[in-house]
Amino acid sequence: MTDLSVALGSLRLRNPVTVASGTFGYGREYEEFFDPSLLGAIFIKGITIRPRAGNETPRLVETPSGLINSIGLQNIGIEELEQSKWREFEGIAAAICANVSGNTVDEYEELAWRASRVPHIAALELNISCPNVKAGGVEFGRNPAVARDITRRCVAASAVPVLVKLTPNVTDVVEVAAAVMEGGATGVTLVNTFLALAIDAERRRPVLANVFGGLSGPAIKPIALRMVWQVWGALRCPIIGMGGIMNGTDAVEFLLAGATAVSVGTANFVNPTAAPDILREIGEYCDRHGVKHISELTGAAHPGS
Amino acid sequence: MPAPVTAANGSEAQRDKLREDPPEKTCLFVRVPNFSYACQAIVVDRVPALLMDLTHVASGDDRALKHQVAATLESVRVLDRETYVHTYLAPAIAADAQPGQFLHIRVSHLTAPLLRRPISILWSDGHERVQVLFKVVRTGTALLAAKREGETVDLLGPLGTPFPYDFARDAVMVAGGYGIAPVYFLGKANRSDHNRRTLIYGARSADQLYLRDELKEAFDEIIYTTEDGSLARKGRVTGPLRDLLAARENLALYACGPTPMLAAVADEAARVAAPPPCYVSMENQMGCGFGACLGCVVRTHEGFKTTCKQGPVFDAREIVFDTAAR
Ligand SMILES: Cc1cc2nc3c(=O)[nH]c(=O)nc-3n(C[C@H](O)[C@H](O)[C@H](O)COP(=O)(O)OP(=O)(O)OC[C@H]3O[C@@H](n4cnc5c(N)ncnc54)[C@H](O)[C@@H]3O)c2cc1C
Ligand SMILES: Cc1cc2nc3c(=O)[nH]c(=O)nc-3n(C[C@H](O)[C@H](O)[C@H](O)COP(=O)(O)O)c2cc1C
Ligand code: FES
Repeated sequence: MTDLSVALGSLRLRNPVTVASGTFGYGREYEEFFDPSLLGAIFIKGITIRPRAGNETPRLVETPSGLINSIGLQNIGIEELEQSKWREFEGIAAAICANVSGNTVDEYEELAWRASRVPHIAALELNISCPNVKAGGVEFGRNPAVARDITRRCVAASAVPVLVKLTPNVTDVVEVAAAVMEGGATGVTLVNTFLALAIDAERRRPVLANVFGGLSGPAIKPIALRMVWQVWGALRCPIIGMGGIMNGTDAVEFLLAGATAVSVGTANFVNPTAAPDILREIGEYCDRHGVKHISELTGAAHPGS
Repeated sequence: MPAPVTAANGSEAQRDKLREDPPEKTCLFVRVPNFSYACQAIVVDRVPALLMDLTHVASGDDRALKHQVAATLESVRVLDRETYVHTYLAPAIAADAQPGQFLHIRVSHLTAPLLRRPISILWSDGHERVQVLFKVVRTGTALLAAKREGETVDLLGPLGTPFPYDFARDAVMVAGGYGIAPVYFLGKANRSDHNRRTLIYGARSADQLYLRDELKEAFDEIIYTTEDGSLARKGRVTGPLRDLLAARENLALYACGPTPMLAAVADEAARVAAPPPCYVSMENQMGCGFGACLGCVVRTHEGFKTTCKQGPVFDAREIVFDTAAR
């Protein structure tokens, strides 16, 4: 039996399989399919200062091996999380991580302070990379200096470890990763969705009401994997890797590229037990390969490992 | 009338509480397989001993039970070149399925097409089999149509809200195209002498009005419409619907079909002096099918609601029908 527990800096998880923000609701949405306590961590739907209704529909479009979404951060807002929603986390053994999104640096700081003090919240994930909300036009996550500043202020405000979710919509993901690690992040989660477009040729219009959306699913896996590789290669920092993970082999590939843990997103929609299935398959892989501790796999595909 | 309560899992604690502290009067909604949950409420004094032994106690918790199963495709019936009826062996789903609910079907184990396809439940025998009727649109439904008898198909269901059903009113059920599926289930599951069930079923032409023999046993009265006049009344379902609404009283409307049709039905219902209850089953692009992705929302007067979990059946008065859809 392999020891599957992992540590991302001070954040300890029972196992490396987590579920990605926006694909797992607030933690109880899959309860009829499996016990959420089986997971290493649950990243809950992105929280903002005020509740958000989200974008107009259509919000989803399927593309070859992919999904473009423009949900627009529809969420209950920090106040409802603080006042009542947190009760639903009670009894879940997985680490509950709050994914937060601000329109300004001040909002991020406020969210970090408040969300990190919500009962049962084990870590924060700063979403500086959502392609579906516009603040000043560009995602904060594209500018290393801004990303560093947001991270620094949130780390200071937060009562729990802070992870930063990076956008893949940049020329050099390493530069931004380095900036947020310098800002005091416990680790990085990568990647968020790729800015994308689908057009309906018959109607001669974009399919999504929001025009652009974020591409996820197997279509993005090779690019996400490359980014995890690059960040690990340059920084050796804790990484939660994601992007198109559908099965145990996909997950192991992310670990081998440099991730310490993985996150399952779109796959949850296709197969609601994808995450526990992937955990089981990682265990089987480790047994087959005589892996004693899961951390042996992190970065193991890099030359010289 | 209180909102109908579906048969939900009564916990042991809830049953203990009933035993210890029996209420004066109890309203029972007993769900008999084949008759959906629309059985009449029976008001009784005290709690009958029988109830204590039931594994399913109506608890007011209306969370539907969902199952992911590898179902055997038992039989395929080809209605025409692009329309199929599949019968699946899926006891867990069959036992819980109610009219208006749908299956989310994984048509391929490859990554394209990636998402499941939502298809309404046409019929459940209550313990073993569920059926669907579907039209081939593009890749996903074509792959489903290519499945052979004996193959296993990954089904998720039953999902979504069922049609509420009121035996105290005569039912007028309106279907357009493959929207006949949940409407047939609703009509057939609620056969009774308590009320009259009228079906208004419209399609482009006569050959697209499916299951005409089967429909006879599910409804007391059937009115067909075709847009090309190839059968019965030429035109759309709204014509006969308007006539019925003018001539009869104490009706309840249940509709499934293209969104513009649903908008028109809702308009007709709202026009009469004492508007009848009107329930519509909405269609929408779906991701997960169980409330996790928020991709399938529909605009209601109380904000966005998920079609997959808070719907697909809605009270028509709730829906903000897009003016463009009309
Ligand atoms: C609650 C519900 C019940 C349904 N019941 C039935 C039924 O009983 N019989 C039947 O024939 N069809 C039904 N549909 C429509 C059916 O889901 C679509 O025809 C089917 O998804 C088309 O898939 P495709 O791959 O062939 O088409 P494509 O156009 O290639 O599909 C691409 C994407 O668009 C989605 N999509 C395409 N058309 C629709 C549509 N009309 N509604 C929702 N999503 C769509 C697909 O699911 C897929 O994600 C229902 C839809 C919903 C939402
Ligand atoms: C429907 C949907 C909603 C999402 N919402 C969020 C969100 O609120 N916050 C966030 O940081 N990422 C969000 N994401 C991105 C995912 O967390 C994940 O980074 C991305 O989907 C890539 O992983 P995948 O290919 O396994 O899905 C969302 C993705 C999808 C598909
Ligand atoms: S399809 Fe995911 S919430 Fe409805």
